[in-house]
Amino acid sequence: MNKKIIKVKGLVRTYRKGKVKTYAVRGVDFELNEGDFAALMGPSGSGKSTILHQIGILDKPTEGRIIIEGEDINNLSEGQKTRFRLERIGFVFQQYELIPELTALENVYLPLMVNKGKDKKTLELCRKILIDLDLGERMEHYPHELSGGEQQRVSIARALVKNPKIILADEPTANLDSEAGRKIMSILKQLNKKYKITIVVVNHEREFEKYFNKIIWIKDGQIEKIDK
Amino acid sequence: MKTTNQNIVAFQVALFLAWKSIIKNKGKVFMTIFVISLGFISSIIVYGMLQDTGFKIEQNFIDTTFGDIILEPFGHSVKIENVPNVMAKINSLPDIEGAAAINILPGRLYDNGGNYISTQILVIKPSDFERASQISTFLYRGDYLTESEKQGIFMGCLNLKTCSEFADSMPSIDVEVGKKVNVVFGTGETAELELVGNYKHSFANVENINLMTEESAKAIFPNFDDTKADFIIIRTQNREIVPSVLKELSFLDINAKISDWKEKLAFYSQTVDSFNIVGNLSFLIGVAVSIISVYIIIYINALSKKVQIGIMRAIGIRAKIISLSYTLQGFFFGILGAVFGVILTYVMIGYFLINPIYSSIGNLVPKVTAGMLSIVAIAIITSSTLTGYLASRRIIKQNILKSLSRE
Repeated sequence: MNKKIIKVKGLVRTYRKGKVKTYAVRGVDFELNEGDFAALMGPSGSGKSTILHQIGILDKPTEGRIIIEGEDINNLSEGQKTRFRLERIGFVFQQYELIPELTALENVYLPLMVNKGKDKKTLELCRKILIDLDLGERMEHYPHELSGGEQQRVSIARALVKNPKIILADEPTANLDSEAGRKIMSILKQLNKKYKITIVVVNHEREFEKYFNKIIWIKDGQIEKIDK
Repeated sequence: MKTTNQNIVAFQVALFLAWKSIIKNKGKVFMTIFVISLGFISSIIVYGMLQDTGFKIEQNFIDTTFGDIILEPFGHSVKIENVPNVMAKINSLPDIEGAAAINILPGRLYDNGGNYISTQILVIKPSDFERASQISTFLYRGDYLTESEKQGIFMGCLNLKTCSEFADSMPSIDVEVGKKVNVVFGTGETAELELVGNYKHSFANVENINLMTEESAKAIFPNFDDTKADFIIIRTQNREIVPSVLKELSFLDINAKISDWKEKLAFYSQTVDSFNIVGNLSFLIGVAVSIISVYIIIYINALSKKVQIGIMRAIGIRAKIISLSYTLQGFFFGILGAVFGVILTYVMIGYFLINPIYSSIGNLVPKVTAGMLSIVAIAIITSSTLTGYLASRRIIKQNILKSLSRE
């Protein structure tokens, strides 16, 4: 039996603008198994990214529980949440979100440096990952010197280097041309296969449906259906 | 042990992030440091200029009128007694440039046109007075008094219509050098003295002294006693050693009240104090403006990194590391701003030394002390460091998604 790695129970997220309360997520329940390559799919504004942000502890749910590896993340202190993000979750963002003042290598190295300090071994590991992602020649370049696809691969390397159990990717192909997008998706698929990392991707491009073993369709903040 | 290691790692990472931020934003960093250093100068220069104004006013009186130290008879005595002995004791001290015994003769000076002034004539030994006062160096026309002069008077231009800047508003007599001045002394004696020379000073307040020699006084007053004096002025090598000279004088068993220039300049000190008050106020305002400027610049700089701070938090960098990184950047800006501020201040002082501001009290050059520089430097470094910390804390407290948004 597959181990449940993510459990989302009764998730609600509302936003207030003055007296107006808007529901971004209206009571979502689902579970993901270890090693799943899952997609949150749906139209723009359906609440997919909001759900991903709650799982990634980038935001607090209004109601509901999220349990990751048996740990209810709502019960964690701010410091524990930071540590959780550092050690157990890798993020891949739509806009890459690399630190512009650091080279590709330094961007990848930063999360490890925070954990272990400066260390030659970890630096070597970062180099290896970048080489594996076909960025061997670009590791000393700054983000603005890289193409969108290259930046996204650096972002994946940064997520991967922590050896996380989960990678959360928020529309990782949205800013890329179709070829670069396909490359990113196949990299994520390979990582999922090779390292058994659970990957959750927010996606709205039907072209990539074939990559996922589970697709959670979201509409108006609710689950419309789950395809397996 | 684990916590210590974590702290060391946190410091290493923060330092790394701060350093990368600095070297990748050289233009912005340079501008920040430049603006901080300008704030530094603005705090110091006006203050320094006003300090020098006060200093020069005092120095003019010291140079021409009171000397650095003045000896007067004690309250119960009329004159200082045994002057040659006292003078010998004074001149035995190594830091003395000169000393002069002075007797005051009140009287009225008349010209031939019926103009007169009520004034005092100081009776002196010209060679002694020349060493104790700088009046002779401001000679305008004619000559300074000679030791053997028996019928001459040397006057300040403020008392002479022929060279006074204020002839229309201040009482003065119309006498050219070489012509006669009629004197009626307070004791009733009269004399006809020749104006041998006059002196002019850019600061008119010190142009009102009239001198005659002891030889002249002896010729007019047969009982004139040059072993007594109304006061003795002493010139030291510089103002700073006055306290130590005062101490040395106190051991010489001189039967006179010994004061430094500050006591004699009490009246003018009010004016000088006003300059100091304005100077201190300008200094405080300057420091406050610098602190606010530093705060705004560093705050804006940190706010512009909102997204970057959001990214770091999203990937799990501890808030402590992020805020330490911005605190270190603020500290760096403060240190370099202060260093450049000090350098620019000295460059400006150098400029003013070559091109001083000319004024009636002398050539003004900002007078800056190490103490003042330290106060401004500490204020700027502290405020920039604190701002770096506060600004980053503010962003860190934001919701991560809000930090990541580019709106």
